[in-house]
Parts: sequence; structure tokens; C-alpha cells
Amino acid sequence: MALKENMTVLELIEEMGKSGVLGAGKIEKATKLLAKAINDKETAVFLSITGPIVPGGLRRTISDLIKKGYVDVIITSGANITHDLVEAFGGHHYRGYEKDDEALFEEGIGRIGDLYTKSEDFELFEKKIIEILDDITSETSKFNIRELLTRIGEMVDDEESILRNAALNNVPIYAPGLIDSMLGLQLWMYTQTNNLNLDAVGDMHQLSDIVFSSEKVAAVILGGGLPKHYALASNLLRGGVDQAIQITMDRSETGSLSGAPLEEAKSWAKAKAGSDLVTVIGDVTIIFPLIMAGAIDILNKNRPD
Amino acid sequence: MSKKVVEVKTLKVGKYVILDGEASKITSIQTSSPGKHGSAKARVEAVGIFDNQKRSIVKPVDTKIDIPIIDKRVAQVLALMGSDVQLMDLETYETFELPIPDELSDKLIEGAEVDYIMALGNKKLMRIK
Repeated sequence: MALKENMTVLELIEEMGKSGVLGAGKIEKATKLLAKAINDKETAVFLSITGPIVPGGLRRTISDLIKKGYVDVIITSGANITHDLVEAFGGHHYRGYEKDDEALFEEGIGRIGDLYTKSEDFELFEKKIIEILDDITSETSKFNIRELLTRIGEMVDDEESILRNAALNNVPIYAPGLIDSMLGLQLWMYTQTNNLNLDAVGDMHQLSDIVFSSEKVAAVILGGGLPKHYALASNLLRGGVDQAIQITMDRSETGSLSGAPLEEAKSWAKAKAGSDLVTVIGDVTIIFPLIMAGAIDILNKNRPD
Repeated sequence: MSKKVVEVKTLKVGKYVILDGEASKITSIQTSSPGKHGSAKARVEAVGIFDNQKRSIVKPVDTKIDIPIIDKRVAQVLALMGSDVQLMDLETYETFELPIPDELSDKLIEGAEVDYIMALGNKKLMRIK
């Protein structure tokens, strides 16, 4: 690999591709596959997001992808949605509180690796989400999860918010595990004394319509977990995805889905025979910006001026 | 009005709250500090005065909640009628019938004075005076 001054990200990735092996080779393959999937109008891009992607600094990255029309469907965890809203309502994620975890608890600070959250931001989150729920449920009380997230997104006043950008650009957000989050907890508390009915099964109809009306599907899987399964399993009825990229550090030996090789999905008809599959082992907060920046360079090169 | 609105944090064990529209006696209150779940929360457990059902609710401590206004009254037993008793309120002289609670089934006698309560339009015989 030849490293030069002032290289573009794509030039660096192409150098990695010249070696073509191990992690470097995978990064080049994933970058090209991502650019191809985005560029192909017949391919619907399903972006599955787990892990602390919003607190980990990729909130803006995801919002920009939505604005540019690079993703067609987002599947994520209730936690990422919660953290998106915490920031949208004026809360933050913090650095530099290196302390004993019990001392952090005393100060109302929660830890995610080397980043931190504050209880006061979650108190603000609680106040604001209840206001939004009051507003949303004044007309209708029954929603599927996707509809609820769109309605919340419409009410959010923050240009960097994933929920807001998804709502404005008609990108559906699915969160099959929504209840397992602080937003889910608030929804439960809200339903104790208010009329709000959340229909988790109701999402599947629209999602299957998207799956069946797409010529091809590419799954871009950041992390694993429930969203990874939902992204792949929703494509089961059409014989699986045509392309997939996953970035994970989970191991495969236990048979759990998060670390399962994408090839395994072929045996379940969650990925088609002959589908293009690339797994990159690494931290999503490093790998995804790298391959995404490379893919953007490719897309800009291909664009007719 | 037979109810009023208070903040959850003012509730006490042994006092009353309205859960699912039922006037209920509070049997336990647990609170949690502010945290990832937001502001401080209270979990209130109560038993319906009239339907005897156990219910619970979890709410931020500064949330408003309805409590029933409990009217404690005295009546006199006019007649025993099997599982029911005919009573006369000693202030209003209104007469009405109420079911006899199990614990009073063989203790009530005609002419006895009893305590009863009224809440949310329902009455319940509580004890012999």
C-alpha cells in the first residue's frame, strides 16, 4: 500500500484494495458494494443500526445519508432513537468523566464506553416526549411503530435529527425492539393514563410491501442484534437480500445472530444464492465512516457534471 | 365534585387514590431517584375500596393524579335482609341497602350504628360503631 500526501479517502481505500486481503481487502470490497447499491436505482438500501451509533458520533452521518437519498429503510434500536431525541431536545453526550462507575452513579452520569450521559438530559427528554405524545394522540390514538416514529420526527425541531430527517424525506424507520429503551419506558408510563395503542405487528405489512416492490435489496448492517435480524428476515419472503455488508466485532462460534457470518443467511433464504456479501470485522465508528466516505467519493466521480 | 387533583408525591400509604376510575386504598409506595428513566418516579400500589382489585401505577412524582374525596358517614341498621342490610343515614335520614361485608356477617343487629363511606358515588359499609 502506497500512502501519499493529501490522499482522498477513496485513494486510500483503493490502495487497500491493491493489497486486496484481510481487513484492508474487505474495506475496499465493502466500499464498492455500498457505492454500487446506492447508485443502482433498482436497489433498496436497508440500513440496520445497532450499538451506540448516535452517542458514538454518527448521528450527523446517518442524517446526511437520509438527506442525500442514500437509504430507503432504516431499522434501528429504541436506544438510538432515544439518544437521537435526547440530542434533539437539547441534551448532549459527554466526554471526559473518567471516574469510578459507582461515583458516576452518585452524580447521575451514565457511561457507554468512554462517553457519558446525564440524568438531567433524560429528565428533559421525558418532559418533551410527553408533550409530543400529548400532541400526537390528540387526533389518533392507534399507531404502528413506524407511524409513531414518523409523527415524532415531524414534531422535532433539530436539523441534525435522524427522526426528523427520516420523516421529512419519507424514509421509514422501523424499531421492532422499541419497547426495550427509555422511549419504550416512557411510552409504557404514558399508556397508564392516556389513550395510546402501539401496534408492533402492524409494521410488517408496510415493510413487506417495500420488500416485494423492490427489484433488489441491499442490507447495510452496522452491528448485530434484533435490527440485523429484522433487516434480513423481512426479506425472507422474496428469497433474501441481493447484497449485504455487515460491520461487527461479534464472534460466530456461539451461533448467535449478531456474529453470524452473512453467508449463513443463504441457508435461511435471508440472502439469495449468489448474493454479494462482505463482512468487515471492526468498530463501526471507524469502519462505517471510512467506507461511507469512500462510497461518496465513488458516487461523486460517477455523477455526470 | 367527589374527587380532587394532587401531585403523586403527596400520596401516602393508607390514604386514597383513583386508579382506573376506582377509588382505591394505597397499600404501598416505592420511589426511585432521577436517572435514565427521567425524573424521580413513584410506584403506587392500591386496592379498590369497592371492587377489592389490586392495581398499580408508575408515574413521575410531580405528575398530577386524581384522589377520591371520601365521605365518612354514620348510619343505623333498619333491617337485615340476608346478604344485604337496610341502613338509614343518621344525618340525612336517607335509607338505602348495602351488601354486608363477610367480616360483619354475623355481627350486625337491627338498631346498631355503623360507619360507612361514600366515594365516587359508591357506598361501602366499613364497621360497627
